[in-house]
This record gives sequence, C-alpha cells and structure tokens, in this order.
Amino acid sequence: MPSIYLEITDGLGQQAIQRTDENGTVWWIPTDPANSDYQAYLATLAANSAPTAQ
Amino acid sequence: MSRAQLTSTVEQNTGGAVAPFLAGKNKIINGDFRINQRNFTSATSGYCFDRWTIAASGGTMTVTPQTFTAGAAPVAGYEAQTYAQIVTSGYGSAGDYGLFIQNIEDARTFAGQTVTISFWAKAASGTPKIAVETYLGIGAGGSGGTTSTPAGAVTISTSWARYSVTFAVPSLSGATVGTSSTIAVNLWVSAGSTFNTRASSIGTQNNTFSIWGVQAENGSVATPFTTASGTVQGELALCQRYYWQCDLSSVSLIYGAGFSSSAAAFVTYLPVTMRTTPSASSSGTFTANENGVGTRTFTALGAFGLRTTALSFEMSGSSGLTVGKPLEANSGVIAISAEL
Repeated sequence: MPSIYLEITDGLGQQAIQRTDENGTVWWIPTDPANSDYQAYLATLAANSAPTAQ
Repeated sequence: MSRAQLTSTVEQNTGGAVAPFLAGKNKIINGDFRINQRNFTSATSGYCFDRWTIAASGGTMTVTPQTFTAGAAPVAGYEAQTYAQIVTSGYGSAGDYGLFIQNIEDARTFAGQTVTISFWAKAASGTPKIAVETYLGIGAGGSGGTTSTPAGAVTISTSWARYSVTFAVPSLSGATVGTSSTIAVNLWVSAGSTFNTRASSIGTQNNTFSIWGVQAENGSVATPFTTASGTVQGELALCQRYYWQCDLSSVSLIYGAGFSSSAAAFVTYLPVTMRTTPSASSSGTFTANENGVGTRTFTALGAFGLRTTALSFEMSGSSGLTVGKPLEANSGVIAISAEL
C-alpha cells in the first residue's frame, strides 16, 4: 500500500504535509523544496494522486 | 613546483612518511560505519547506517552491523569497531539488483575530477565482484549532466583486502544544477543483465559481503583511510546534518509547558543545523514529568514545528495538566530527517 498524504497545518501555523507510511509511521513534512520527502510528495502529486485537505 | 611541494605531493600520493590524514578528503560520511543513530540491527531497504541506504529489487539484500573482534580489523593501527555485512539471496533474474548507496550532497562534488573510491571487503565464499558507480542527481529544477558513470568492478576473496577504482567523473558543463542535487556512490553487490553497463557486468550474486572503510577522494591514488571528519564527534555531527534521532528517555532533555488540560508544547534546538528544513516523526510511548506532580502519559506526539536549527512539538491525549506548568519530556523517540 502506498503512503497516504494529507495537507495539514504544522505546529507553527504553517502548511505542511503529513505522510502515513505502510508501517504506520507518520511523518510531518515541511513544504520546503529542498526537502526530499516534499519532493517525493510533489512527484506523487504529479502522478495525479491528489491529497486530501484536512 | 618547489621541492617541498613536490615532496609533499609524493608523500600524499604514496601514503609515505607523512600519512595524509586530512579531514575532508574523504567525501563519504561514516565510511567506517561507526555511526548508527537509527540503532538498526537488520535492514533490507531504506537507510541503515547513518548516510547509507539500500536499494534492492528481485532478491533480498540484508544489511547488518557487525563488530570487529579487537585486533582483527583489516588495517594495522586503525582499530575499527564496526563493519557492514550484506547478505544477498534470491537473485537470478535480468532485472534484479542490490546496491549499497551513499548520496553525497551537491552534484558539483567530483565534477570534472579524477576520483578514487576505495574500500575493504571480503566474501563468505568464492570470488564475487563488487561494482562501483557514481550516479548523478541533478536536483529539482535541474537538467543535463551524465547520470551514470560506471567505475568498474573488483573481484574480492574470502580474506579482508583493500580494493580501489580510479575513474573520471564527467564535468557539469552545459548542465543546470537544481535544488538538493547529489552524486551517489553506488556499490553494486548484485545486478542482472539489465544493468550490465552500470554495474560492469557483475551479474546476479548470492553471497555474504563484508565491507568497511569506504573512501571517495579526488586524485588517482587511494590514500590511507580516514573518516570524513577524522574524529568521532565530527563524524556524528556530519551525520546529524542529515538525520537526528532523539530518544527522550536518554538522549536529550526537552522542556515545555501545558497549554490545555490534555496537551503540552515543547521546544528544543537541534544538535547541528540540518541540511534543509527536516521532516519529523515520532514513535514509542510518550510521557513527560510535570513539575511537582509526576509522570504524565500522552497518547500522541506530533504537531511538529520544523526549522533547520530548532524543533517544536506537542504531546496530547493526557488529562489533568495545569496550563503553564513546566514539563520535562522523558519518553518517546523523535526522528528528524533532512536526508537527500
């Protein structure tokens, strides 16, 4: 099962992405273009896997 | 060139009278596998030792940390602690592969240079091969550059020995380097025929490989091994630029305060500035000691606020907290990643 992404607001009130992995681990991902997890999220978006807004 | 410069160059190139233990010459971080912040004991994919990652398909590639018996490390005078053991099994098809990878930050590293990659290795049986390749990640928004540069393969034996390959890394002339670019050092331990060009035709291999002392440096000579920093603390700090794992019960004291009856907020500085704004996750059981009350148990740790130098988070799902009362987080594990 692929990771599940969710758009959220982080603890500092900024937009972030929450990714839940197959093993249940939840990652908080900043919308930083240099963050490789965010790059992977953008790649997923480009593959037409739209996120679910919180 | 002066005589002194010439002598220095010769000594450096031959590993002569003055051993060139220069901090920074080795672009591989954690080449001696001493840093294991994830505390992994066995891995078949993703990160394992700090900075090292596994890419495998078709067969199974299992990496474990192994401890040298004192006095048994392969280099006299370098009492190494740990080596990487890689077991490959189930490989046999054209599209199968197993790689042990370190992504080096910035595609400009080694561009247009002669590079020597060296390592110690042995196999459990036979004479398998390990192929070496660099692989360019031009970065988000970037373009151009030569993606794969095969560097050849070495044939190893059942005894520890040092192997090296020297090759030319293409220049980036005409390329546009994007965000978070990389050049990976790929050590292939198994590769089906689909990857013959990249993996120097080593073929699929099922064996047990032991590897230690990986070094990637400019020049045509494998100089004496040293870690990237030359010190244990320096190497840990280099690793923590990309990943930090904080066990609240033993690693770090982090203080905060209740902001409702059920939740508290905490903030801490990170041990080193991260490469970029990191991602964060949590695991384990979350507790904090409330001043004058005792241990409070929480059901979640999240709502991270992420910066390159600091981190805030919330623990939630408790009850009876006093707003504004100090708490010390004392269990739970936080992982912070700015890996490439």
